[in-house]
Amino acid sequence: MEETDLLVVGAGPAGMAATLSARRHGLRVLVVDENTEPGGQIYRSVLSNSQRPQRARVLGPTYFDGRALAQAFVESGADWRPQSTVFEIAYDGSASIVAPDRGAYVVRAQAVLIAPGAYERAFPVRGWTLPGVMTAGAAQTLLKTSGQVPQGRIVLAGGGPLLWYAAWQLRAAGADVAAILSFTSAADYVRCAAAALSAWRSIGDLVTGAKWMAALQFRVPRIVHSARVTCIEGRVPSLRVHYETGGRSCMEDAATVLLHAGLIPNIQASKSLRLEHEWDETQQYWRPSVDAWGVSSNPAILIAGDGAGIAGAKDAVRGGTLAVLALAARLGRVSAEQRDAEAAPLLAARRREHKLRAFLEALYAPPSWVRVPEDDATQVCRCEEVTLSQIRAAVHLGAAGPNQVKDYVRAGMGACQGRMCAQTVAAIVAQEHGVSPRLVPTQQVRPPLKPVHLGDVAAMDIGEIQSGGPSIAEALLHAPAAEADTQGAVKLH
Amino acid sequence: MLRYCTEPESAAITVVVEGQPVPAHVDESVAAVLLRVFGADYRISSVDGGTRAPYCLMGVCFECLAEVDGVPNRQGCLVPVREGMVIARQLGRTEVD
Repeated sequence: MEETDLLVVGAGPAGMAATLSARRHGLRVLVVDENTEPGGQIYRSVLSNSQRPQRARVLGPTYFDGRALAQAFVESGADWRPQSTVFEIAYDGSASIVAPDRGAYVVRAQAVLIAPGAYERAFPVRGWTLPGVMTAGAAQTLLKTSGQVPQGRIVLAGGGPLLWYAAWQLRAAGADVAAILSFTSAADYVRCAAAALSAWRSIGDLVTGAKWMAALQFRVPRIVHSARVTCIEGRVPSLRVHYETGGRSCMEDAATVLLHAGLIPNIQASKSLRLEHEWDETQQYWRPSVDAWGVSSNPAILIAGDGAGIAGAKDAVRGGTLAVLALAARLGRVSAEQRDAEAAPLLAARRREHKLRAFLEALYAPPSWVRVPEDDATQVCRCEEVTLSQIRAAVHLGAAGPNQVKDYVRAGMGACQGRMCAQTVAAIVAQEHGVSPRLVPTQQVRPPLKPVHLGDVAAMDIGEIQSGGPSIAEALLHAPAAEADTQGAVKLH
Repeated sequence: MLRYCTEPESAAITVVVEGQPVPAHVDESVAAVLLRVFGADYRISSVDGGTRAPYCLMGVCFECLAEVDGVPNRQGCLVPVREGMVIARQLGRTEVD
């Protein structure tokens, strides 16, 4: 079995920074990432795009902030394995990985740093499953990866910095951005003015955002505030986005609809490890509990970047660096004094960044109609095609949380393993019981985290794990309560 | 459904999509090629038979599933195309012979 000091899962900003930090402290580090190039989502394809002058002009300077980091990463001497998927992480620091060129194998590390990033919050409205409806991030991915944009009229809907950033990039790419339907109202800007002022030290970022919005005011024919999307219908390229604003019902024609309602941490791996998680009331998402050094409730598992709570690429770099600094101190590679001296400026920068985040989180808090759809026919679980009314019926039959809803009506049982619907299902359960989603048990995640061929698993060399580590039965015995739903039921009724 | 916003800036290749040669570029994913070729007819759901197409394009939603080199249920957004790759859509439920 392969051994290493540090296994980094994910080569986005946090994973790349952690890797550089590990190399500086002389740690052996292995980095696994699903994509072909380093950069994560935000800096996707940043190295090859810096060789493509036309596309570089479209993507803009903020994107190329990641170039130096990605360049240093590939030159760091770390064992970087692209197109590799971690499908299980065990609590003892071992992980199972699958790659097309070598099948499945196990790596054992002294510590695992999970840098899983974030993904876009589900935006369940009736019609969000239609071809031609994608996330704003999906359009950015196409632009960064292959320089492509959707043909015809594009309507963006929702809210959050990324909605405006994507609109700005698409416009720069010459795409037909016909309308932006923003859920943010004038009252939201007033309400958050004080938070904006206390983030004055992040003035550069605030100005960048304001510039995107200002540039779009004159170049996008229709920008609507306080817009509530009610449904999408039709067929590509003749989709119709229905929305309400100021008590009026309106409609916008679109060939492509791009939805975005903020980012949520990707907690599949941390949930599968049954780590402690905490509820973010403003942004309405779960994030793994970590200390200032990114250490989770399992000391062998570190978490950094947006996967530990949304704070953006620059803060992800700080998080990854800090986590490895603390690990190096634990392993005796640096003294506690040196650790604290190196950490001080990073921690100060984080405090500044968090003021900016507090403003953005409050301004772009997801509205209730995004968290729980209003139309009974809305497909909440895209994979198994389970509607809002079916999920409500399951709750009324006694399902106390997503695990039981899954048993009753299959929501969360499909290919995405609940990534897209688990949060919405929990929000529906919470609404039906009149409690905060914080009190609703979360969907249990079990490996494999991604599909893997049984033949690959059968061919794995896992001899040492079976003899050296605890048996599956032992692991189950010691695992924290799997029956969260039962406990939740007691609380809820 | 998709178009290039600039001149393609990577190498041109040919992939085989459902038996037909299709020009592509090495920076495209399987999902991008299928979206470009078939648009709204990307995939047919195995549950209710409706048409589906990629939603997130970053490995989360599993709407982009496609058959690549004979292997079904690959996440098309995570697989870059290469010369001669054989790609097919997944149109409805799999039949077991």
